[in-house]
Amino acid sequence: MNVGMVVFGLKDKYMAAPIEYVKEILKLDKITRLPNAPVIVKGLMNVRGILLPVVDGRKLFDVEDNEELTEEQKKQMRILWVSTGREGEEDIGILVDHILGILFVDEEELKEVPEGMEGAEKFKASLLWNDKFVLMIDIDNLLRGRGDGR
Amino acid sequence: MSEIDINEYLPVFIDEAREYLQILNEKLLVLEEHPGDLDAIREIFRAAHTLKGMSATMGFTHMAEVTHLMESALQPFRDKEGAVLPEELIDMLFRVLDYLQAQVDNLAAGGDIEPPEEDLLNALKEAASGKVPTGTASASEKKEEKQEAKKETSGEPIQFELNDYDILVIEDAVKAGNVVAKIHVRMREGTMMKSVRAYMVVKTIEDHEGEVVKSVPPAEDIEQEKFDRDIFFLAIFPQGTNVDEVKKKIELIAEIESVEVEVIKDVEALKQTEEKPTEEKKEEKHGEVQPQVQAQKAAAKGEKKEKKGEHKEKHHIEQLIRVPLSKLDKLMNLVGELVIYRTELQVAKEKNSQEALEGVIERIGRSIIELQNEVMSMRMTPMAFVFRRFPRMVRDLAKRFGKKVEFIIEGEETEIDRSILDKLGDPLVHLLRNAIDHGIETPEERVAKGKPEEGHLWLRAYAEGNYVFIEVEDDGRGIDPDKVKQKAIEKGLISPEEAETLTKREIYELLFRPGFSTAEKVTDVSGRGVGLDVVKAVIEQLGGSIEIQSELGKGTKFILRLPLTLAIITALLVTVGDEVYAIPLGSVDEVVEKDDRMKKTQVGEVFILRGDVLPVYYLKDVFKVPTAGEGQHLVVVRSAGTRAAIVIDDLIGQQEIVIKPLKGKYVGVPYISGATILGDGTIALITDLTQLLMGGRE
Repeated sequence: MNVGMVVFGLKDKYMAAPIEYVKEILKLDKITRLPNAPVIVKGLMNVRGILLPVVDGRKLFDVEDNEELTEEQKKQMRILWVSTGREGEEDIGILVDHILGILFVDEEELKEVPEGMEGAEKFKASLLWNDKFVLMIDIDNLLRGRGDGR
Repeated sequence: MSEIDINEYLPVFIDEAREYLQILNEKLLVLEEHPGDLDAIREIFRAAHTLKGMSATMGFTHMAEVTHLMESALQPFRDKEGAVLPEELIDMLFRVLDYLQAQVDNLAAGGDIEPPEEDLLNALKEAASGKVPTGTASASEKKEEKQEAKKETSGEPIQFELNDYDILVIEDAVKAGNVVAKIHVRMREGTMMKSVRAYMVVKTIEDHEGEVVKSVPPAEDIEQEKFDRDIFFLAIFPQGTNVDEVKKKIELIAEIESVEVEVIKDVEALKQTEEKPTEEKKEEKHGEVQPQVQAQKAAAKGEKKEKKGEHKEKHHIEQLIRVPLSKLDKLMNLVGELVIYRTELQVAKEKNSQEALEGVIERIGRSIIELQNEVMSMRMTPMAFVFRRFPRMVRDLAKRFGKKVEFIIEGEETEIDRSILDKLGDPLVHLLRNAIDHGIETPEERVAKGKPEEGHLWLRAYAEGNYVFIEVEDDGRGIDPDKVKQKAIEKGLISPEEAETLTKREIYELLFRPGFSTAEKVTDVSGRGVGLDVVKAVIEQLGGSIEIQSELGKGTKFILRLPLTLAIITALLVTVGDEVYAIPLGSVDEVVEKDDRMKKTQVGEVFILRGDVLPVYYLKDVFKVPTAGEGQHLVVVRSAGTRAAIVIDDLIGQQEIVIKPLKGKYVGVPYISGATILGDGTIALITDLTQLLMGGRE
């Protein structure tokens, strides 16, 4: 069976979101800062009247984040609107550096997440694609729980 | 009339009947306290009267009969200053209320009306006849009666078909000395606009302060001109009316051939006609007929429609909600906007302008969301909806537990989303029951403690900012924190060491722990444990919170905080740096300049406003705004009983905003209750003043 995913880049890392969880891919618009929010939260974006919380992909997936982005790089940035579609679980937008494309692979190509890898719980599979190591993110885990963050 | 009519009006009937039953309920409770309260007696009388009329017009004869008897039973008391209702009568009225309530519930569930129990009916009849001297009814009251206009279907030959209820009404009227007349109007052959003529006849009757009780054919048929030339009216006029004069006036109406007026002195004569066989095949024909607006005043009253007999069919009953006209206007405006956008869309398409197109789509999207929110806001319902059933419950519970309780409801007009309201019933029942069962002491105990014999139980609701607060407070024995601690240790919820470190507030929190509540009664800990975890769960599910305040020996207060989700509020928009925040206007007292009234003290800055010392909060610090200035204005706010001054940079103005709650793992942040999207697409965060002022300064 084919598995579809949106492949994105965060600095030199490649990751993918299962396509059934991706609602839309958005361009970066004005983000309103949300005071006292967890550091990974960039803020809120108005998407056609819906308030979408935007989470910084680099911080979320612990990708080293120490250099200023160039204007060119900023233009490449996209927001991956992901949702579990389940009642009571919020939708979020994940800010990523750039989108590589949509990929369909055979289920058998999916491998386990390397054991002992830091932050392994955030991913549910890995695969090799054009010699690139791609981690498939676990959106259920990401959005699970109502946790009021207070 | 056919089933269609009944289906159409049943929801309205149920809705209104419930309202009147509620009034009955409330006033009966008042009467129980003060059996001589004339206002309450009159209110009950009026409610019974209206119910009677409503039931009769719907054809619910059992209900009409019971309410009529109820009215008669109350009759001797309502005009007499200083009359005191005997206790047995009040108890019987409660039974009647229960009966009526059950019938309305039956109807709402799609069932049928059941006849009252024999003994209740007999008792009622006795009360109605035994204590009512005939002829005491005043003329003015009889006029009220007359509004119970009735129309009856009938085929040919034309005659009045009177049911028991009609006869009761007429009998009363005759006894009261009113003039009851049967008016036979014949129109000329080939009369045009017969319905207009008929209306003029009704108008003439009404001009003489008469009330049409019944007509043959019924109003619907008259309106539809489904009659040949003859119409019969049964009308009641005030005492001393000269019917010949009425007759003359009717004769003056164009195209009226003849008028016959017969004054009825003996009801028996009417009863006889009832025996005659009548034809009912016409029933179906006027089934689809709309309610008549003007054919008769009675019909103009909307629900004064009549339906014969009981209905065997089960109906699906729709839930009704009342919507103010202003809200409908708002909807209309929004729809208007959308219509305009459609045109804009057309233009954009013709111009083939991508930019214009995107603009329109954006605006349409926004309007639709607003429309959605508007529709949702119509679901706002007053608390009274739920609160009103409590007085009776409290009364019954107090009796059962042998307590004396004065129940005080405040703020029942506070509105909340219907979906939230519907879920509040059970938790509140729980809290009230707990308060009566375990909170309030027995009268003896209270007296021994030097408290007034009668305990007090308050149920209040009020809106503050984006929240509705509901408080259940009693002046009973309060909750002993030590006993709670002990119990929690016994249950293994906390260790004895932990117990030492807990604050009073944390101790009360234990009461909400699932483990604390067990099926067994824990009366030794004021019994507060039973099912409180469930209460908390429901409240939290609704996005709210619950808190206990208690003082041993003085009483206990449960405070429920519920969000006004989906609500639209007016807010003051302010800027701090380049960020926009909304402060609910309901909490804003005033806006003042930041000047030398700011003072530095050991506990931080304060603002002296006309002698009041207000704590000062810098919004830029609360929200860690990176670009903010020193602030130019102070917004004086009030929340949770305290006042404070909030420093901001600039004011934008006040605006109606649609609250979008912010909850969840990523966006649930302190001091922010939600966000809103402004006209230009900017997001403004709504400050949660309650939390800010309660939380104190960091």
